[in-house]
Amino acid sequence: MLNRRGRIFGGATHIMAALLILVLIVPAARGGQASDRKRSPLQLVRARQGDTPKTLARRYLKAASKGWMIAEYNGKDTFSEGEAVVIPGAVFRRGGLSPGGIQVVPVMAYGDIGDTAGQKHRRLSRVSRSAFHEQIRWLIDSGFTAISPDRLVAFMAFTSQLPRRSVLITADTESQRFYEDAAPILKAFGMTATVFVAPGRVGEKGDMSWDQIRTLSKEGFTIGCRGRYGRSLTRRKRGQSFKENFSWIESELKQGKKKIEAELGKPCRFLAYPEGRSDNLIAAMAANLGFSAAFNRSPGGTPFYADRFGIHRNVVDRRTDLDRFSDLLATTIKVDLK
Amino acid sequence: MKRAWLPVIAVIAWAGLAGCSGSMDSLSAWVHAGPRWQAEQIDAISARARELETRGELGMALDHWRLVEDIAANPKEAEREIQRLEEQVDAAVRSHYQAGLAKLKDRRSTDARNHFLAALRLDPNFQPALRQIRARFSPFPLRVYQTVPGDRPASVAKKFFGDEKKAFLVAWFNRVPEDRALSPGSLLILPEWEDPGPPEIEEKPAPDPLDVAKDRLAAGDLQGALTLARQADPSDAKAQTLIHTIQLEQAAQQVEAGRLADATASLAAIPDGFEGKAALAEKLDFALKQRQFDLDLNNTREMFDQGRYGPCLDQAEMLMQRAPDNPAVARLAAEARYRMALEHFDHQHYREARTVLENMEESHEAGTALKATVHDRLVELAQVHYRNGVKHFINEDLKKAIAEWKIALDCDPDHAKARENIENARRLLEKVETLP
Repeated sequence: MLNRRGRIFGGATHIMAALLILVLIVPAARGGQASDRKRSPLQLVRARQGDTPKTLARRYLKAASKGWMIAEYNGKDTFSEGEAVVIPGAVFRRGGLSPGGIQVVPVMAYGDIGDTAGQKHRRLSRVSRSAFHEQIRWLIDSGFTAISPDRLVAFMAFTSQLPRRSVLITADTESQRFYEDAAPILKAFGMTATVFVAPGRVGEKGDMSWDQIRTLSKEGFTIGCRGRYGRSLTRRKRGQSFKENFSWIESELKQGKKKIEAELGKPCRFLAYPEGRSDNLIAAMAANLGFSAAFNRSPGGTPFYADRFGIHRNVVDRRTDLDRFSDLLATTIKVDLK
Repeated sequence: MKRAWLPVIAVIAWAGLAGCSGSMDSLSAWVHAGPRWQAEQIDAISARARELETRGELGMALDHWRLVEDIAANPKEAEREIQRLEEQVDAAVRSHYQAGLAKLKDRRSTDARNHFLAALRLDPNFQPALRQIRARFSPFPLRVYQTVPGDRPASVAKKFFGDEKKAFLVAWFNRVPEDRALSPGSLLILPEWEDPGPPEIEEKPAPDPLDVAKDRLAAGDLQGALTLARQADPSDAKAQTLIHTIQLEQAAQQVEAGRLADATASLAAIPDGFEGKAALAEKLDFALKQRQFDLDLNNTREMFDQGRYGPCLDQAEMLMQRAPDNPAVARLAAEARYRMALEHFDHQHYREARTVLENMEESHEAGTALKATVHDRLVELAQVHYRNGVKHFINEDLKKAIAEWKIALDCDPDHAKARENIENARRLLEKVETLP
């Protein structure tokens, strides 16, 4: 009896050993055989019921936010159960280069956003709350994704790619109205923006406090610098020497950056030239002071090879109707790159 | 024998642990989307690879063939396609790069750029094309310089900026002392900048806050202007004048917007005698009166709507005294008068109706028509009372006859016989009363 049991379990041991060989050794051997060739960065998966690019990205790319990669690679954003889906494990269109053209990222520059009760005359730079709402809704309806300047810089470094319809929304303001009117609209639509503040003005009447700016930062808004007081850096005061002017510019940039970093406890990497104006020396100073990119105010999109310290921004003001707004949002330079 | 149980226990334990850790899900996925299922997809992936190649997406096509190679039992075809495509990509990259260089020579920089970009699109790791793009089409505000023996910040500044006095720039960008020799072979960072010479645009002296406040006022930003002006020295007469000017503008806008209480408060802050205050105060007073008039008119309309025509008419007549030319009030008064008279007419109070209609405007057609009807009815009524008087006269009741004729005369003041009979009856009555 004992011998019979021994034979049975002895057989089971052999079966287990065979299974181990099948599970562990054979795939290793297959892998070993292919180690000298370049493996595909793609993964072939079978869609489950209810799968979307986001659920697939969460499962296979460990980030739902990368769903757009799956959608763009497969050329579709809905999948049926059992359908074969290709998961791109790496960047597949670096720098946004495609056979039909070059991707450009439109950067939108707002001044002040929001309404003031009872104010008859509005400044040209101020966009009303309703107009801003309409513009953000248009962006969403048109399939745009709002990106952060970090992602733009990575794109410009030719190390990553962005969703085809990407936009960077920026606002040069410390106004309380941005916190009360614009930020809630952006959050409601799942968008983000970059706010360039002049630290010397923060906390003044009608402007945001540092607590509010910290809240924006925690909510995913990027806080950039617009100099210490937001004064133009390209105008030299009468009687001021070149060296004195240089020191003043250095102080404006350095103190502004330092104050934001001290208040937020994180690096301030982006600069908007006050009044949108700069020259090569100011751009070089910004680069040397540790800014990663700087933005001016002149129309045009940003391809990956654009000047990182002279990024174009399309100004949106209260004259910008939806037609004009949509014109500013071109995302491709059409050229034959086949 | 006990050892012989170990594999079985291990399998059970593994299954249990796998179930708990969710690995069964992976196992399920492996069963459903395992090698067999993947092998079934090879044709579709191969077709997709060919489609991508047709569209010029050679990199993506290559990745698809590599996927086929990974999952196919017999990857020969995939290997052939991969080799073919890799050769094709290599050739295209080289061709685009050479074409780019040629275009540069021809000074056709846009064409050159597009060729370099096309090479990069096909092979993003092709560094020569990326270097060309970075060097020629991707400006950067800094450049690098390797020092030679004898270099000092001043000499480098002279070399690059044409001015030794710009040595502080070399020192600042490289965090080196301005007055020391630089060790040969060092790499310096310098701004990609040329001194434009003396500044052409010079900033004006720092603007006076009051001037800024004036600019804000001109731009319509009253609150901003007021805030700035209040930051000035309160003893400065100019600042005070500006503050009052802004307050006056504020009050004017508040009057325009109908915010009369705010306007009153704004105006109260401005001293009497300030230029423009009296005129605006007059305007505000008129606006306040107009608002009261509108309120009274609304009340009068409400009375009319409630059918209170008497009080409505009284109120409307008072409003007409305040605004004799206001057509809305005149219309309301006429309508109230007509409705009130109509009520009297319906109750056969013709004399009261006649009294109400005495001041009826001729333009009110219904009122004029009613006035005529009332008149006719009163003439008829006068005749009735006249006859009643005659009957009393015949019965020698002179007092009752006189009373009836008086009513007839009240109804129709033009009733000559009634008037005459009253006189005769009175005389007769006097004679009768004087008889002994």
